[in-house]
Amino acid sequence: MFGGSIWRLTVVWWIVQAIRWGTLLLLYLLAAPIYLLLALCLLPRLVRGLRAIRSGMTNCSACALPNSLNRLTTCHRCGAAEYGCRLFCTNCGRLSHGFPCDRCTAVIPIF
Amino acid sequence: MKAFDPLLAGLFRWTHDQNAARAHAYEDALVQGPARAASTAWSRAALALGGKGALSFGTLPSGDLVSVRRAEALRSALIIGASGAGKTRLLLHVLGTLLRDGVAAPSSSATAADGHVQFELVDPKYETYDVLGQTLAALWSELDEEGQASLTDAVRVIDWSPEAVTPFAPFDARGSITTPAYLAHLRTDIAIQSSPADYPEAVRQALFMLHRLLVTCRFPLNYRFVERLFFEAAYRARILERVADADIRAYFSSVESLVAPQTLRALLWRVQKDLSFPEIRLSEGLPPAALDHLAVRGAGCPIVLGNYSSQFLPASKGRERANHRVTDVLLRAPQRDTTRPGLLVLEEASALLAGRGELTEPLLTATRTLRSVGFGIWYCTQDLQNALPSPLVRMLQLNTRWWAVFQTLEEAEWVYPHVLATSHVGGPSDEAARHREFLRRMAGLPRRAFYLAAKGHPALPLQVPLVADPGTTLEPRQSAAELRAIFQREFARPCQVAAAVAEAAIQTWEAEVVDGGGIPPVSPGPPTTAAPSGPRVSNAAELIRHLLGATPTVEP
Repeated sequence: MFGGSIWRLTVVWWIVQAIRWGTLLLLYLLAAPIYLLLALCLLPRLVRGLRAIRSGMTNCSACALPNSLNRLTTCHRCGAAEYGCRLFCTNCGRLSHGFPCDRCTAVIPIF
Repeated sequence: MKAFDPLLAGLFRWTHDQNAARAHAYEDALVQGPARAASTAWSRAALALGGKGALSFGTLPSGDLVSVRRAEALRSALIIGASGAGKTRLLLHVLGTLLRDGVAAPSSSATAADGHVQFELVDPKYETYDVLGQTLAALWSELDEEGQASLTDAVRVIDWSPEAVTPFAPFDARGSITTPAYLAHLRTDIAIQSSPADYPEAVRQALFMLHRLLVTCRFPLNYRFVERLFFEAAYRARILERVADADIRAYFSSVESLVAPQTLRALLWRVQKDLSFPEIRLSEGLPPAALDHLAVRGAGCPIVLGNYSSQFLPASKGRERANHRVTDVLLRAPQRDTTRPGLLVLEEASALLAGRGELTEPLLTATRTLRSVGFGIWYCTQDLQNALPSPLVRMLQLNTRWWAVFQTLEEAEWVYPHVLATSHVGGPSDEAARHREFLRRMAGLPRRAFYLAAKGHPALPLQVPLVADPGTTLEPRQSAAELRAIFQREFARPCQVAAAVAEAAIQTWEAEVVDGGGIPPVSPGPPTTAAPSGPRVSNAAELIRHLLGATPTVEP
């Protein structure tokens, strides 16, 4: 009694799914160049940040003081103090994109 | 950038061990490194300050001695700090070194690097004068006869006691480049500024004109003379007959109509009060003409020690005399021998400058300009910023070459920009907190510790070397009392006139000028830098005989 209806419903469901995923794919495809552009824009910052992390030092753009990225720091969120990179807290997973200069306290953006 | 956060978080977790190791290494270097860096920077600055014939100022925390080349050290400077912080110790250390170098140097050489420096100490508080006097006495004891004679000839002492006084002729314009009117103006202004008494405008003017007359006639200040001059018209007329200046003649001819009698009486009371102190009456009252013939060591000595303390005189009189002396030194400074650097050391300088009288401007001008003739002024004082008006402080700050800043709060601000940032080992990391910490440290700086800030160099944290008591280095060791006795006998007495001699000279002058009513012929007087040219008189009897026309006994 319901065999034909179930079959039709299944077909319709697959069509709906195909349209849904197809639309999503289409949207992703349409957005891809924008994301690509965005990624290209952010890539230098990322490279600079990674380079700073690798060297462990970065100069303050305001007072030119060389600041170390790795030192004893206290997390502003959870208060955990640890030796390590001052941009990341291994206790609470907080990630910072910059930190204040040790001398002039101006923010030094890393990422 | 949020898109990369998970990626970055993973990266940080992955590299955490490596980062932690680097953080440990950095923190270790933070504790050890600045001390090394600061030490290196201080040593470098100390090296840059040194040079030929350098004068030692103190030791760095590392124990290294810091010396400043003489040309730099003898420029105008400020020595600031709280009472008991070590300013006088620094002065004694440096001036003691100058004295020893001067004695050790061959007399034929006459440059700063060889040790020959002319300096004058103006001490309104006695301590520095006393210890330097003892140092001189100790040095004298170590020398042979020839050395002793040349040392005593090189030193002039300005001091007053009830037994003997250093003569002072404030109204003697001989050898001075100033006009009588300007000299009278300076003397009047200083007398008024230093005096606790009130001087209304009319009294001021009368005092100025009186001083002009005294300078013109080459007379000393004398109560009986002033009384007769103001209140006896016939006597005044006789005195004015010999005065060439028309201004003075016009004023004194009509003084009774120009000046109210109560004004003249007020002036007379002030003169009377000033001269009621025997030390002042005897030293200022000595007629300049008599001084020409007294065997007193005077001008031309490269070392002058002046005691202007309130030991025997009221503080205001001591200050007045110090101001007169500083004025004389500054007036003569442009004509000085430039091959020898000159130094004027003003102890308790803020007390001298506080009145903001006529002395302030010449002092500031001298600080600014006299370096061209190799003359520097050291201002040794406490609480400079609160004691003096801010424009004056600013002028001093700008025109001095180096500052020695001892325990202080306000003046610590001056030094802070010159302190090496790396010297704050283990201190706070941000600028404001570091500044506060520095001010706190300066307010509680230990005794003898100071910052030496020479312009163009970083400020150096120094410790004044311990100054051994004079006499302890001698064999046999001499006590302070013995050294004072030597100083009095060998250095002070030849520069002074015994009270009896001075009294006799004043009485003779009064008999001749006040009672007799005549003006003695004005003798040309000796040049200021040469020894007295007249017959040398060393006691009252000889002086009286000389003044009465008899031939005095000539002292060897």
